[in-house]
Amino acid sequence: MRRARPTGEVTALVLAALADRDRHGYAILEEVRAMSGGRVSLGTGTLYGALERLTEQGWIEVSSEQVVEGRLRRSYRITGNGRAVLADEISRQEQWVSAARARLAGAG
Amino acid sequence: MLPRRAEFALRAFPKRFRSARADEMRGVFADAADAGDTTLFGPRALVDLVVSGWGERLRTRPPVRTFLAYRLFERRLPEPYHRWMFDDVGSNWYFCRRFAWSILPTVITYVAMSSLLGLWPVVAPVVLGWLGAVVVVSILSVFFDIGAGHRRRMLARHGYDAERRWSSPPAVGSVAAAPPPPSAYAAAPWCGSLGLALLAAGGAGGLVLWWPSLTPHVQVGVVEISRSVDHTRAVAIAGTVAAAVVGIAGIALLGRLRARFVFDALPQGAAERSLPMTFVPAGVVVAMGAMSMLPITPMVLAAALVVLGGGAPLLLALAVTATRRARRDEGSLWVVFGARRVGADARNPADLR
Repeated sequence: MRRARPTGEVTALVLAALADRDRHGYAILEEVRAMSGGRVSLGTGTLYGALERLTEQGWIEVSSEQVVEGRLRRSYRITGNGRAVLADEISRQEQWVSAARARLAGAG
Repeated sequence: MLPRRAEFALRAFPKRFRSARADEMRGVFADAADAGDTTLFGPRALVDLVVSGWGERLRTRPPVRTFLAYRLFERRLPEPYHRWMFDDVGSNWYFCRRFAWSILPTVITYVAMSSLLGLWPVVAPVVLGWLGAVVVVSILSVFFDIGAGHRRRMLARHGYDAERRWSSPPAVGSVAAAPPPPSAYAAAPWCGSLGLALLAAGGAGGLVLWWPSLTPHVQVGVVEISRSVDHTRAVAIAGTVAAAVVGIAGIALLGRLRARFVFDALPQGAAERSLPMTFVPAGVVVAMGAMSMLPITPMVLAAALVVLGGGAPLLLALAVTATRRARRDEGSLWVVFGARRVGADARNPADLR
């Protein structure tokens, strides 16, 4: 099974947005915005490019599909493989953050 | 309703992507509009759509080497690129793309040989007429090839039922792969184009060689640019002979490859796959007729007839043989026009509509 680490922040944010529950496209956008404190606002093109890649890689999958008020809403959920990739990415980030924090404290 | 500019920006995504996700993306825009979220409708959001769309196109297209093998030699693409192939074959621009790639060797060879002979970038009208005739041949070749069901053959080559529509791409991996096509057949279009290119270069070189007093010129508005041909006679002779020899070899090779396919490698019941090839020499014959009406010298025409005449009988013989096989295997000549099932190895994927 492929276990490459996410190649960018967008990938990690989308995986994180789906970590606690299934979400559809606009809900993912809102969740990413909330998680990043409003710093990251994904465009629709970026989001769906990422969803396409993540689906191909098997890190997320479609959980449900429904038409609400004439709008197609497809919800996504993270897969076990996706969770593992996200966990790897988080530990990688924590590693360099703690190293950077220690250097910053030492310099002070 | 999605704003028109956003709808337009969505077109940056490839067709296969839009057919799978465009409705869903429209839903996101509608959700954002309901929530009063204007960030998805600003200029940056539109730029994001366009950039992401082209990024998706680049990400999903075949690697350069695979692409060139597909375009120039009609090699079958690996399965991950079948969705890309569906978009390519179903595109309205398919004809233009094939034509552009078919004349590419012609243009490169012409420019190279013209530079060698000191003609480029000054173009003599008579040379331009010759080049025009070659372009006519290329157009007719591609036109007849496509008109005879090239799209269907390309689908059959990738293992899909050629009788089905290609507008609804199947799920990748849902169809068993077909046996690989004979590489000899696959190389035919490129060989034909290259042969014609070299013939064009040879014709241009021969013209300069036999008429050393010719002064190429071109008139741009009221300014006339002209210069003498200052090449040495030895270079001209070598270039012309080499171009003619390789050009004739190209035509001969084309004929031999086609002969091998038709007589040796043709699977039973798939004679129709060879038939469209016979339209290419038919296009050459038509173009030769058209060329005789162009204002070019009788000598150039005679040279072209001599060179092309060598391969014509063989190609016509192949056409007759292939037609007989089609009548024997299919009982009808309608197959010539792509009206019958193409390819004995074509599958019937249930998910194709």
